[in-house]
Amino acid sequence: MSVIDIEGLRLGYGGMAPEQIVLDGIDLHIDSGEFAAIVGPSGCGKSTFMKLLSGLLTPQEGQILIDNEPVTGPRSQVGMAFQNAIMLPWRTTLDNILLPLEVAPATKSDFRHRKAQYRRQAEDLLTAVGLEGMGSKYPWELSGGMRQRASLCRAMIHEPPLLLLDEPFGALDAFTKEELWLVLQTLRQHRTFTVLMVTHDLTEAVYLSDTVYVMSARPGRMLVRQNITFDQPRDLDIRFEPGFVSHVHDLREHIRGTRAQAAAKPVLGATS
Amino acid sequence: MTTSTPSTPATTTPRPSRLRHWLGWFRREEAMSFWIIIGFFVIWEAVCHLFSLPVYFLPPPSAIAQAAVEFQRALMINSIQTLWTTMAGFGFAVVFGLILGVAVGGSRRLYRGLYPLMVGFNSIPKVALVPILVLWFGIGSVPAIITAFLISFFPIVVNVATGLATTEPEMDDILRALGASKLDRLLKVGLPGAMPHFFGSLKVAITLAFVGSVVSETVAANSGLGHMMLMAQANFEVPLVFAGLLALAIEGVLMYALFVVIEKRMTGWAFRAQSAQQ
Repeated sequence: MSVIDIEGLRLGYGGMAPEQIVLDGIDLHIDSGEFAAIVGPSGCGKSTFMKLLSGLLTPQEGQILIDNEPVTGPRSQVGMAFQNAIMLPWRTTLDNILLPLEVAPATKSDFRHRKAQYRRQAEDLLTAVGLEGMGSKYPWELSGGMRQRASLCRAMIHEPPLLLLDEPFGALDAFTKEELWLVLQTLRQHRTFTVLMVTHDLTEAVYLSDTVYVMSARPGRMLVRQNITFDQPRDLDIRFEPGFVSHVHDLREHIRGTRAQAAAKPVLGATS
Repeated sequence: MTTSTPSTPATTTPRPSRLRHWLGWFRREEAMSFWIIIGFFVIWEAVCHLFSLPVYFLPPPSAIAQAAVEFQRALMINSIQTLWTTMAGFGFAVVFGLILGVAVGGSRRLYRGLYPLMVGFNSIPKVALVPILVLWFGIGSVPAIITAFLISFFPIVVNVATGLATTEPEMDDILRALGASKLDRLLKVGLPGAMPHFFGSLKVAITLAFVGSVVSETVAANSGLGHMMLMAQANFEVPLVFAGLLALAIEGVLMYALFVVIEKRMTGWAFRAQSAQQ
């Protein structure tokens, strides 16, 4: 059963003239519990696509269904994490993680009564991502990797069925990145949820996902869908096996192809 | 003293170390302002005597101190009058500055609509408004309060609006995607994030408020430091004029220091977050 159904999605910023189109005819189906990654050249509209899924933008054409219901506006079914793990510096890590529960209409009214229970939930999450007992620390006392772990906790605290990750590990060093991949795998063993991740890192995409989509240069289309069938959870060393390497290589070729195409045709107002 | 017995070392040894501790303070960076102020008055005194300047031209600090003691009652009463009109005007500026700052910072439409008018108002020299205020409210505290309000209002509005506008767009996306209301986004993220800007602006605004109230007192009032200095000048009591200026400077420094303390208390996280990033 699919969680995300997208049919004939088209979106333009400011209008539907050819140079304003950002996403052009996207069809996508993501199953419940699937980990899907979207890769593509920079400026292809990946982040716009994320905003559409979270209900912050509405497309001019086509529709998005989440759990068979059309997305018409923001709903708290999604959790989001970005490249910048922006946290509120005047709140402790724990209070930052609890923020979604404080403001989401579903949990806002009884937040005060159930705060103890929510705190326990947040502490469990912190333990799961390897930040046990760090809840009382302020964001500036955490390293970049720790902040990103906390921001994952914040994205998951309201137990959303869908997690949207926009280049979540882009700003981290290689080793921290690997640690966070494992963290993400651990979290997925705790509870089943669907993940849609946008990334530039092809190894990351292949390592974490069940399906990888390649998006074309602007205007964005889904060019290729690649199934990654290695068993979950995966060992970090799998990255050096021939099957894995050939997946990464294939994806790289597709992206190089779409970049070359975009460079060859003189697109009006292309800003990639 | 020097022949301390082994049984009573505790009473004798702290003395020299405490003295050294106090002497040490005068050598520290924090003591620089102390030395500069001392030096300023010493040079002033020296210049007056060296060039034997007449007291009615530039009185030396010693003469000013004498006048301050002689007229201490008048100085005290007028200082308190100026302080309260300043604080009243400043208080109104904080309340209305916050309200308008939130309105302007929260809505692009209001921002674009109101900004030219506000800049225009701010460009008017406040002295020019005092005669109109006197016409409306008569001579007294009211024009001083309103002038202090008008002059200190603008920096608060601008800073609160700027603070709200610099909210991280991604943080806003996260909250909006959760379905958070506009009020919640303002109360939980926008306003707390704008607080460093707000408290920073209070330091500027309080000194401006003093300028406002004294300007008004100088033009039209029957009490306050501005009025007192005008009277003293008319009576050729030049040292008293300078004593009034000093009293104003002291009040200004004290209020500024108070708001520095409040700022650190309320938005200490902003200072710590900055030092952690360096």
